[in-house]
Amino acid sequence: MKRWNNSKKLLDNKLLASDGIVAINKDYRIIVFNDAAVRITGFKENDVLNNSSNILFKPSIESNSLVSKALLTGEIFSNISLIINCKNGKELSAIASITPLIQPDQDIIGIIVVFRDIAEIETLYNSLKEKNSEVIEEKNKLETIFNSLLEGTFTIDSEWRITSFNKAAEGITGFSLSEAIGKKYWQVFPSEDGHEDLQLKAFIEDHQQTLLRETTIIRKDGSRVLVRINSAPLMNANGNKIGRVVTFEDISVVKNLSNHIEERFHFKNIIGRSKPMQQVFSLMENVIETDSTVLITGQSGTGKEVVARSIHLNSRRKSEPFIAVNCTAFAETLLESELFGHEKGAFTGAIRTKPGRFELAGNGTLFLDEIGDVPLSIQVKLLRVLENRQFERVGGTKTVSLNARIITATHRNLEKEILNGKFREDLFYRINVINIHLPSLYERRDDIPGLVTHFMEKFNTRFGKEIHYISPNALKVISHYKWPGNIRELENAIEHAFVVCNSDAIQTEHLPSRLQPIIDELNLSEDTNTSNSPLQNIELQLIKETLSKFEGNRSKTASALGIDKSTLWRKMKKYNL
Amino acid sequence: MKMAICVQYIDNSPIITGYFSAAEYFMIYNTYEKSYKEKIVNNFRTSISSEIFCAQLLIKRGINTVICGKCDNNAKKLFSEAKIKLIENIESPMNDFLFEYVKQDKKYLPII
Repeated sequence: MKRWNNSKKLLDNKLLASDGIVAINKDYRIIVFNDAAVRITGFKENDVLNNSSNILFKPSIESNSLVSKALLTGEIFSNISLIINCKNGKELSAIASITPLIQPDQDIIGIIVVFRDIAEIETLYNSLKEKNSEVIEEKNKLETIFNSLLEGTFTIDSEWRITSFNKAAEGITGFSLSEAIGKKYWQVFPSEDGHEDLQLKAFIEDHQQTLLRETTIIRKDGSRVLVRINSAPLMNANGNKIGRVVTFEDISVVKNLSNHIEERFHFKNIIGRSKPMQQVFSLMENVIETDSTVLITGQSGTGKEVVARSIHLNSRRKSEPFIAVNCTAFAETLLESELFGHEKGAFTGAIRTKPGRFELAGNGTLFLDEIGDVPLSIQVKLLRVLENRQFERVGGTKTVSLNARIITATHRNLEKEILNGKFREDLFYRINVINIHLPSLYERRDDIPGLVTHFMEKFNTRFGKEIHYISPNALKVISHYKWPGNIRELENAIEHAFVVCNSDAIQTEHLPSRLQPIIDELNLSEDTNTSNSPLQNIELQLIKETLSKFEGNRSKTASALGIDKSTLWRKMKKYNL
Repeated sequence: MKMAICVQYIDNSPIITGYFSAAEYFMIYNTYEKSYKEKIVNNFRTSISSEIFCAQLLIKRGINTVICGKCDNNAKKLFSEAKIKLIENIESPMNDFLFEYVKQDKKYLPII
């Protein structure tokens, strides 16, 4: 019985029928009149059953003669026009088909007329047209939003083929929409080694929540770009997964800037109040406005890279990469490949194409540290690059343009090196357009207290300590030492003091043993008020004098000092007054 | 004589059940030869007013008898016009029905 009910339900759905159906027997009597015919004509089934077909199809109307013709001949008529008489006396135009009811080798039993009200079709057509316009409008709106997104966005189907690709995605990857559509996503979104990134694939596939992942991809022109990716499943109307939407943004600029910020290499953060450093700053101010090649000279540890980064960060290239290469860190053959990059198979071990530092620097700054130690064979190539601003990867034929600014540095005296035949004179003049000479720490002793304070802040954070004071004797020793290792050595000495110091002030005994001769030489007296900084001593002295002036009257003292009474009380307690 | 048996497949077996127009197949059985002649797929099954088109199809095929569970009125009228015998209210596996039908020498005995 249940199965019968299911079948009945299936039939009930047919009440939605839009085609009217009339069966007429050979005697021109109506024998079947379906629900849609009732709806269209207004006649009830009982009004027409067993009545003449003339009640619906007036024979006087020419087009209706096809009904008779079909009954007589058994001919099939498709998409014909009929005029149907309605119950309310009106006539409606219908599009109809007539097929015969006929048994094999027998006469015609009747015909079946299937018809549809043309007005209904027009209404349906207009309704669909309106809906279609709405869908197109919605699609255009979504397309505009899709292409206005700052994030690169593309969708992939279940076969990992790209089905849509927005403007930002074109900008970041370098591939156009037509190039991307239909391709497997890793063909336009290759990982750093140029192949499908299986980890990324797994991430895109499994990713359900809003989670971000950073990866480097290769753009169409071969350059690398760091992107942050997000992914979400695409569902159809039935809630089944049909693909994924992947969004990504170029974060190389942000990353580059944040790296710099973290490293605190801002120009204004270079500590140096001494006259030699003021001269350096003045020169740097002029240099940042230009794209000229800069040679930074100075002893090891004087902060050449810090200055190079500061120039970069204050120049118009600050949002582009800053690439630093220590030329002494690579063997001669490796250095060439490291600087210029290499093509796959250029030499044994070159298993993939790799861009060099010149290329990675892009429109940013390339800092070549220890340029004075570069072998002569590489010097020739460097000279060519600096002159032509073009180069080729090792084993490659394609010429790549150099857009980066070049800053070089060395601790060597290059003029002496030229005389010794170890450095090319032509390269020297090419790199030495502007020379910034960094003074040794001993030459800028006035900056030592500032540098000490800076390193103390740094190591307090790193070691989680609360050492905020340095005794006058310790500072005196530090100021008298010659610091052959310059700032790097000073930093090392303060770090040493932090490790061995268990109080809140650095004393002479906390300094490295190599400073002991200075301690002996200076014949230092005992430190007083060791736990107070010079500023605190001044404050103490001032409070003492004011209190004395007003004969211990705290209100007057506080008023004269411009501080609150409670603040004065707190400070008096602090200094045991 | 050609008999159209309206069946649905349930567990891979043809069962006579449900409405005539909702049948999955019309099994054409020749009662003289006692053999199946044809298995017609009911493509009208989900169409609007399918019973009319199904009846028209069977009329065109020269069927003499239709065996089904229930039959729609419109189809009944057309079968009547074509003088096709309609046997309704059958709910049985098709082969059981045929076995009984043949055994009774073409005289129909309701199985349920």
